Parts: sequence; structure tokens; C-alpha cells
Amino acid sequence: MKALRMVALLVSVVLVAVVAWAVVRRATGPDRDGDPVAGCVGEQTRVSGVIGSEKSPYLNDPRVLARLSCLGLTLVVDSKGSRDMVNTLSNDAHPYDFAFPSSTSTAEKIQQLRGVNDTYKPFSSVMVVATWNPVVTLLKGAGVVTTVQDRPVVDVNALVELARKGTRWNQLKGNESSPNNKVVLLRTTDPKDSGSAIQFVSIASAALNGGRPVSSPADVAKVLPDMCRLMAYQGTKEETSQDLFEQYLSDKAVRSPIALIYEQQFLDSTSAITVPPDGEHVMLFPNPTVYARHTVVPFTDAGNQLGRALDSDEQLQNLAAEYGFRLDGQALTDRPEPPVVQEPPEYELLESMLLELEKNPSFDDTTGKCAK
Amino acid sequence: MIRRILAASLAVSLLTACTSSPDPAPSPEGVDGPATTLRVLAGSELADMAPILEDAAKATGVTVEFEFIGSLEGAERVASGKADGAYDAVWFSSNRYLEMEPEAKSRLGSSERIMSSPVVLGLRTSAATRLGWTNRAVTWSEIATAASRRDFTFAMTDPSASNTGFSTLVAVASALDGSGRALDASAIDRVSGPVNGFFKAHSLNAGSSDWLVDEFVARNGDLDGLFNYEASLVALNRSKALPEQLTIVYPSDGVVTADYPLTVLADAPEAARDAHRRLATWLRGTDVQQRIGATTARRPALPGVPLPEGLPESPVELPFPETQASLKALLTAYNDELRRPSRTVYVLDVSGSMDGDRITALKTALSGLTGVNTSLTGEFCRFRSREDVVLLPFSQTPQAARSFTVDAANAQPSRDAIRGAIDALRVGGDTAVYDSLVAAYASLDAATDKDRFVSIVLMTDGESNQGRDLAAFKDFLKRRGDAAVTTPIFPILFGEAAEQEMKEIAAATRGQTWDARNGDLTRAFCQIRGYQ
Repeated sequence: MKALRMVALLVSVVLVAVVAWAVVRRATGPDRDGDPVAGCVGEQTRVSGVIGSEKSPYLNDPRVLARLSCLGLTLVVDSKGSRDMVNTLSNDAHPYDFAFPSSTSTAEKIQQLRGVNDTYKPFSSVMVVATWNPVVTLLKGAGVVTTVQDRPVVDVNALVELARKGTRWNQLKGNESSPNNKVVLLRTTDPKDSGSAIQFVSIASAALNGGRPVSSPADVAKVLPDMCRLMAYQGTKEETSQDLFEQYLSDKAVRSPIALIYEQQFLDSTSAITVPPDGEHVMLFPNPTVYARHTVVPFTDAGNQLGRALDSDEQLQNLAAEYGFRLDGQALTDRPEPPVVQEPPEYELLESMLLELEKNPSFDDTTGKCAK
Repeated sequence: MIRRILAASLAVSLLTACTSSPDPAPSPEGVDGPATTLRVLAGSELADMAPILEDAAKATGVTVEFEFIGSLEGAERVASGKADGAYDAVWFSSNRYLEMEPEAKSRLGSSERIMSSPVVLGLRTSAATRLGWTNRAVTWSEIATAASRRDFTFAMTDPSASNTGFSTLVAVASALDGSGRALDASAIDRVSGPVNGFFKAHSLNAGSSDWLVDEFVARNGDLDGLFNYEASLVALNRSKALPEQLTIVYPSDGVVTADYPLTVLADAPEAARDAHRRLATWLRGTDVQQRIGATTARRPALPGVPLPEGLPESPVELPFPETQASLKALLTAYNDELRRPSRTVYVLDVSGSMDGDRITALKTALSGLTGVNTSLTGEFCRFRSREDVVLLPFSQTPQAARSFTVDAANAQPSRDAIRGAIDALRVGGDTAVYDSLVAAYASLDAATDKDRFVSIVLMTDGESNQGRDLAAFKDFLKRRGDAAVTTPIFPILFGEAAEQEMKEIAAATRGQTWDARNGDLTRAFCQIRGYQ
């Protein structure tokens, strides 16, 4: 625990090293009118994109906008959940130059929809559980927080077991006086809407499949009922991970005990909304976790320029690191590696689970099955 | 208190923007831009944002033009596509209703949460003391038990029409279910007993939170409490309009909170989407967030901004049902089983002037309540199980009143019988409005079951020219004393109805006039249902 908190505190300092590394890493940029290092481009191209909300603070940072402007790009973004993003982009008259979802599966869907081959993956993030010091103690007692490779992790299977039993927060040992009578659940966003919930579907389905990504329709059928339960018991869910993250920060432990967010949101040291370094806010890896590979899907020349810039411009990469993203392909010294990582399931299987969760958002306790 | 006109839309145009005027506080970067008017379909409680939006116009160039509408009706307007092109954005207490309706959800663009306010119980301090609910945690179960014994009385809006009523219904049902997860249809069956007990103390109903608050104040301590937004209860205390302050009770096992997402419509023009982004960014600035808290007592959306003075930490949030099926099941259970039933006398003008299109319009509109209007709002407007419906047609004299009780076990045949009686209405003769209202009171006095929400709807297209006049009717009310005051009359303006007299009738009985002179009689009959 202590180590993790230290990480949160020290990350901005250690990032200097990251920055230095990034400078070396991207020596050559694409051909472009004007030299991005020596001076700025005068003429501006407006580039508009639809993005996952978790990247909104980064892409609205005045320094990012200024750097892009220097490269000749005036950036305007709309934040949307991934499903909304796909819906919007299925209209041929959509107004965007690029999309910037957080998951490979959504990116693939958009590529398919709009016939795009080349994408940019400028950075990634790991899914984490945002929680609180006293909650960690409770969850250790309940066998939900366990230790893997000397590191505390949130055992997703143990959470599923508590949900199956309908165990409430105020039924956990040592928490009997809490007013929170809700079932112990990891708060997630809505899989209909949001990229981070799609990551949760990858995480939970792998946990329920004995620690392997689901690889067949039979696997999917086996894991679905519990997936429905985990979603349905929550009731309405936030549409975006930024909303969920903001609620975690505004709420206290009794209101938002555990929430699934991006590591980058927790480690972000620079935007208006950051985790206070009070030692009470704690970040743990779930067992297992997945990587979110943020992907630019360009539709126009301007979109391509934007993707190239985010992927290869040193300043923009440095700024992304400040916002807590993991730069592509890089082992970081400033933060631990997640002990158990799963790959997301095949695109079709993931899609079939998402469709089922959308079609049957309820859970029927008597039959133990997903329901309308 | 200013009683707001409910049926008519109310457009609040704020000062046109001028970016050259000095800005009181530094604004976040990138919020300034071209002067743009953002047309916003919104919940009426957002009228209190006017001073903040005036400054927003100065800082951002974005002038907000509101049209106010109820949550469920607003969701239906968006779902039907009628909001597209007419508005640029929606701003309701929550997007839950919109998100549950796929047709509505697909028309929403990006959304920024601005502030929040939980729905809680405001109790006269003496009542809170009597109940022993000061300075300690109170659960929904205690509240429901006390209500079932009528140890206190409360006002609450109709859940089919207004978000505060629906949030209260969800909260009490979820908390009493106690399973710690979102309600589904079977859970609603399980909790119907205790939730029905809770509603025994429900003593004032309304289709809008504003009207509810105004009427609560007008009754001057006659009722013990009301369920409403925390922000509205704080505003009520600040206004000193009540003889004693309200103690705010935050049920310790949880609340349902309104989170006010400012949401641009998907098909809004580029300029409007840009204006939405600039306005939302400005509203989410730290200084503005603090000012919203100080001005409106709503809680900030931005983490790290301190709570408005005097507000406690947020209670646990109860899970909110996610599916349209569970939402509908809950509303249907409320209307047909859980709520206190109503008794309404429909005093209907069938004088000669109603001949032709007018009587046809009346029959269509009233028949809409017998289960033939299958739109979402129409469905929740229909005559409910256990409800008493009295039809009292009149011309130069009141005709015989016909009473119907909608059968609890088999409602539709009862509704069909009411429709038969509506179809049989025939026109001819003069107009005796006041004698007919007196007859309506007589029919209510003759009823045996008194434990109901009782009201009168008056539909006339002209002036009274037979029998008592307004002065004589007012004398009649005076002689009846307080009993008349708890039976409001809701006159519907239609054709050449005498507007001033109708308003006086409403004011004398603490009812409300509804304007259907634009021809939408169906909407008027449906909206009045929220008060029955």
C-alpha cells in the first residue's frame, strides 16, 4: 500500500526520466510543411474529433492545444462513450476528422465501419481499482484484496462470489455500522456506452473463465450470467469513465468504495482534477487487469496529421506522460507493473458479450440467467 | 412566491451577450467565442440559474434561452424527434429517462455534469422534533412506518410527471426492499405492502415541484413536510416564507440524486455544439462551481470544490433501476396499487356553443384517459385502478352526475364504460358554470370514501349565462369554509372561456388554470392528472 501511495506522490518527479526517454525515442517525425522544432506553422487546419472522456483533460490542456496549433492544427473534441461514438460515426454525415477510443475493439469496429486501415496508438493505460485506505482493510478481511507477487490486488473472482451471495457492504466484518446497505460491487461505467466498461467485460470474463480470455461461444455462455449480475445489480451506471472518476473523488468511501478507472486518471498530476495526495485515496490493480490501448482512427488528412502528431511529437508525448499515460512500448520505472494481465478476447466474442449485456440488462435471480 | 405558469412554456431570455464588458472572475481558457444563442429544453427549477447564466453570457458569448418542461414529457419530446431543430441542448435533473428510451438516447450528444442535488425530506422543525428525527440518522423504514400510522403528513409530486416524485418512489421502494441492488419488477411486487403504507401520509399531490412548494407554503403549516430537492428546501428556508424552518432529513440508507447533465443534441449545428462546450467549461470552472453552490445550494460537480455552506456530506446513493421495463413496472404499481386513489369530478360544458369540432375535441381528449392513448405520457395519464371518475355535464342546468370506480382487478372494462358515457354526451342549451360547480361539490359531499385526493376539472368554452354568478359562487365557497379549500378546481381555458373568471375560480379554490386555447386539449387533460 505504502509503495503505491509513494508512487502517486512521486510520479511527477520521476516523469522527468520518462520525458528524457521519450525525447530520444521519437527522433524522426513525418514530413510536414514547416519544421515543427524550429518554428510554428502559420496556416491552421481545423481538426475535430470524437474521443473517450478520459482523454479530455489531456486534449483540452492549453499546452497541448498550443503545440498542435504550432503544428498547424486547431483541435476541437467532443467526449463520448464508445457506443455513442460508434452510433455517431455510422452516419455518413458525421462531422469528425478522427475518432480516439480507448479500446482496440471499439477502434476495430470504427475502422470496419468507415473503411480505415491505418491507426495510431500514441499511448496506453492499465485498468485499476480506485479505492480508499479503510476499504482496503475491509476487503482484505473479506478475502477480496489478496497478495500476488508481493503486491495487493483486487481479486475479481472473490468480488463475483460476494455478488452471488448478495453480500452487502455493511455485512462485511468491521463495517456493520456503515449505512451502505448496497451489495459489494465494483462500480463500472455502462458497457452500452463506455470504453472502460468494455475493459471490465474483458477483465471479468477472463476471471470467470479460470484466468484465460474467453475463446469460444461456449466460454461466453458460461460467463454471461455473472456478467449480467455484476451489471444489473448496479442499476444505472455512469456513461463515461471521467464521470465515474469525478464521482469517486467527490464522494467519500461510504458512497464510492471501489470504482474501475484508468490508471492514467489516478496518476494524472497535471489536470484540474487530480487525486489529492492524502494517503486516503488508493489505487490497486485488479486481478486480472487489461491494458487500454488508446487508438486514433483518422478519417481525413487532418485526422492523419493529428494522429501522427500525438504519436510522434516529443512535446505532445511528454505531455501525455504528465497526464499519467503509458507511452507506447515502454517499460516504466515510475510505477509498478500489474502482476496479472490478460489480453482482451477476440473482437467477435467481446462484441457478442456486449450485445448480450445490452439486450438483457437485467438478471433473474430465480433462473440465474440474464433477463430483459 | 411567484406561482409559475405550468402548462404554457416559459422562455427566459437572458441579456444578450457582449464579450467586451468586464468579467468579474478570470475564466478558464478557450471559453470565449462568438455570440451564440443556445436553445435549451430544461427542468423549470433551473430558473434559479438566471444570474449565473447572465454572467456566463458575458464571459462566453453564449446566451441560454430556456423552455421549461417536465422530465418525462421532455424525454418524450426528445424521443419523438420534435426537439431536433427546435432546441440545441437539454438540461434536466438527470438523463436517466432519456437514456432508458433508445429513441431519445440516440438523439443526445456530449454531456457535462454541472451540479447535483439529492431528493430528501424537509420537515417542519416541530414535526421533526415530535418524531424524534433531529440530530440522528433516520432510515426509510422508520419514515415509512411513521407515515403508515399518519404520524406525519407529506407533499410529493406525481412520479409520472416529475423527477422529485419519481426519485422519492425509487428511494423508498429500493430502501424497503433492502436487497442492496437495483429494483426489478419482482422486487416491486415484494415491497408493495410497506410502500403502500408509506403513501398513506401523502396528502398533497402535484404535477410540478414548483407548484408543490408554492402550495405547501400557501397551506402554511397544514402539512408536516415535503419531498423535494435539497436545493429547493434550502431555498425555502432562506426565503423565510414558512412560519417555521424545515429540518432536512437525509434518509441514512440512501437517496436518489439529480446530477444536471448539460447535454447538447446530436444534430445541433456546429456553432451550438461549440457554444455548449464553452458554456459547460465555464460552468465547471472552480469559481463558478463555488458560486453555483452559494447561489442555488446545489452541490458542485467538480471534485475538490467545497460543499455549499451548511450542507452535510452526501448520503449513500441508492441504485436506480436501469431498464425501461422496471421503470414502467414501478410507475404502474404506483398508479394502480401503491398511491392513495383519487376522486375527480369532470364538470363538462355541453352547451350549444360546443357543437361541432369542440365537442369532438373534448370527447377525443377525455377518451384519451380511458386507455386509448398509448404514448408513454398517455399511458400514465389513463384512469387508474381504484380511481373514482365523476362525469357532470352541464348546459343551462347541471345534468345528473355519473360516477365510475375503476375496478382494481379488471380496469379496462371500467375505462370502456367511462368512454361510452363520454361518447354519449350531447350538446345544446345555455351555460350555467357556477350552478354546476356547486353540484360538483354536492356530489363530492355525498361520497362515502373520504380517503382520496379530491379535485374538480372544469371545461367550458364560454361565459356563464345561467344561474349563479361568480360573486354568488364565492359566497357559496365562503359558507363551505375550509372544506372547499382542500378541493381545488382546475379550469381549462377553451374557445371563448372567460379567462379572468376562470382564474378567479382557480385562485379561490387553490387550483390552477390550464390553457388549451391553442387546441391541445389532450395535453391539458393529461397534465392535470399530475394534480389528481
